[in-house]
Amino acid sequence: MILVEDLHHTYGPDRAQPVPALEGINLRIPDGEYVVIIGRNGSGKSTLAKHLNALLLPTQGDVWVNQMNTKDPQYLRAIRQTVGMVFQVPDNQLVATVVEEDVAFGPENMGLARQELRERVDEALAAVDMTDYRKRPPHMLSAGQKQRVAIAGVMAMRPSCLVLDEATAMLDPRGRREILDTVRRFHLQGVTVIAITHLMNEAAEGSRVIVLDRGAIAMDGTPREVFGQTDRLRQLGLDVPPVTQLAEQLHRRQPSFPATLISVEECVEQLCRFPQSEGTAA
Amino acid sequence: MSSVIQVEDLHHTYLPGTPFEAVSLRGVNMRVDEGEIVAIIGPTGSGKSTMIQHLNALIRPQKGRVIVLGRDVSEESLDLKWLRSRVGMVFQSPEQQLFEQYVGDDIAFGPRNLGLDRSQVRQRVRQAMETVGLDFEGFKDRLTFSLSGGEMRKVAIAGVLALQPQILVFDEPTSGLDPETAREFLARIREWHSRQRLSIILVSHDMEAVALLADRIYVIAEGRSVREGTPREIFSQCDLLRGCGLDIPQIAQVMYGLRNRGWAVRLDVLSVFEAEEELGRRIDFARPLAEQSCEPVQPVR
Repeated sequence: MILVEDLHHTYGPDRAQPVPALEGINLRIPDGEYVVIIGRNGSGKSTLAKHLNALLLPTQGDVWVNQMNTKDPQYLRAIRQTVGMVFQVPDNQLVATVVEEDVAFGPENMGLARQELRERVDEALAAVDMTDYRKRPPHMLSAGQKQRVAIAGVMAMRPSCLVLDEATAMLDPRGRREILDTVRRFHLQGVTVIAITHLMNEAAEGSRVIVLDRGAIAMDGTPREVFGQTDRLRQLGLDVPPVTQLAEQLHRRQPSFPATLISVEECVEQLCRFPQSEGTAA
Repeated sequence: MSSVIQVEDLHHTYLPGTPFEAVSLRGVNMRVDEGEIVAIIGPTGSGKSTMIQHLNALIRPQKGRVIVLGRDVSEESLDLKWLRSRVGMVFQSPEQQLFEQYVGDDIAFGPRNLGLDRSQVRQRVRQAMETVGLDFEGFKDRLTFSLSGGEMRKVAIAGVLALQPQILVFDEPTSGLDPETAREFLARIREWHSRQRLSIILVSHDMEAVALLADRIYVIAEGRSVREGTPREIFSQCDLLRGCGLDIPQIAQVMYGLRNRGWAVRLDVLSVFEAEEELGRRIDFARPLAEQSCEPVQPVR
C-alpha cells in the first residue's frame, strides 16, 4: 500500500522564487488498484509520481511505500524495487544494445543468480509480448515496442506497483492500445497501477481517477463518478471523453438513457436498447 | 487555387548501401494548396517525419520531386535560409529546443539570423508573442527554464512564427498538453490560419484534432501515401485505418459499432453534435426500451 500524508513539494525552496508544486496531498492507494491521475499541465502530477519511488523527497509530509518512509535512506533500494516507473520517452530509458540485455539491466543490479535472472527476463519479455524480439537492437523497434521493452525492464524487477508517467503520449493509436493491454494484464495479476495521462479515454480504463489541481487533489472517485461532472472537470482544465459528452446529450433528450457512459462499447450497448425509428433499419 | 507544396513519388532510404540500410519512403505523393490545412496521419515509423523534413530541405530527395513555393528543393542553388524562413517547422515537444536563457532572446534568434535590425527584431518578437498568447512585457525577460510546459511550447512556436513563414508544419502539436491547453492551441492554429492565410500541415495521432481542423487528410503507411480525402471520407473507413495501426475519432467509433450491429447509421460523423443529430433521426426515443437487445456481434475496440 502507498500512503501519502500531507505531502508538500517545493522546487528551489532556497531560491528567490520558490515554486510550490504540491500543497498538502493526502492519498491512500491500496494494493491492486488501477489509479489514473489527470490534471492540467503544471498541476503536480509528475511531481507526485516521482515521490512514489523516492526520486523526489517531501519538502514537508511523508510518503510511505509498504510502511517504508521514502525519507529513510536505508529503504531506498527496497522502495525502488517495489515501485517501478515508466516515463514518456522510451528512448530515454533504454540502455543496452540488445533487447534482452536491456530488460536484464535492472534485475542484474539486484545481484540475482544467473538462473533467476534468465527466468525473470524471459517472463517479463513474455508478459509484454516481446519474446520474438529478444535479440534485436531496441533502436530498430517501433515506439510502442520500445515502450513495451521499457515496461519489461521495470517488471523484471518484480515491483508490486507500476507507475506510468504519460507512457503513451508519444505513441500512435496501436502503440497506445498495446501498452494499455499490457498494463491491464499486469493489473489483473495483482500489480498496483498508477498512470498519469492527458487522454481522457485512457483515464476511463482505471478503477479510480484522481484529479489534481494546483498541487492539491480536486476530485477522487471512480471514472463514472468523476466523468459524470463535466462542468467541474472543465473548470479544472480537463474534459470528458467524447462518448461521455454524447451520452450526456442523449440523456437530456431521453432521461432513461444513462447520463454517464465512459466507453464506446457501453454506449453502443445502451443505444441498442432503443428501437430504431420506422424505415431506418439496415 | 495554386499549390504551395507538391510532393511527387518521393523515396528515401536511410544509410543506403550499409548493413543498416532502412527504407523509409517508397513513393509518397502529396499536394498542399495555398491556405489549406492538410493533416498527415500514419502509424509510428510510416515515414511521416522523414517526409516533412524534406519540406525545408533538412533532407534532400533521393528520388522523386518536392516543390515548395515553386522551388524544387533538389536544386543545388536553392537558398536554404529563404526556404527555412518560409516553411516554419514546429517539431514534436518543441519546448525541448529552447536554448536561450531569456524568453525574448529565444524568440529573437530566428529573426536576428535573418539579418533584421534591432527594432524589426523587437517588432517581430512582440507580434509572435502576442499571436501565441504570451504578454510581451510580462514574458520577454522571464527565464525560459522557469516556465511551465505549456508556456515553453508557446515560446517555441513564437520562435517559429517570428520568421513569418507562409507554411507552418506542426508535428504532434497537442501531445503532452492537457485538454484545455490542447483545445486552446487548436483554436489558435485555426485563428492564425484564417488571419494570415497560412498553409498548415498537421502531423498528428490525435484523430479528434485532425477531424476538427483538417480540410484534407493524407494517410501514410509503410512509406507510401495510401489514401487522400476529407476527414469525412477518411474517417468513415474504419477498417482501413485500423489495418494501418490508426484509429477513428471516438464518436465515429460509436457509429461504427452501431453499423456492426446492423444499424443504417452514417459513418462520416465527426462531432458529438452531429452524432446526436444522426442518432436522434435513427432512434425512436419516444418508444419504450426494447426488452431484447440486438444480436451480440464482435465487440468493437
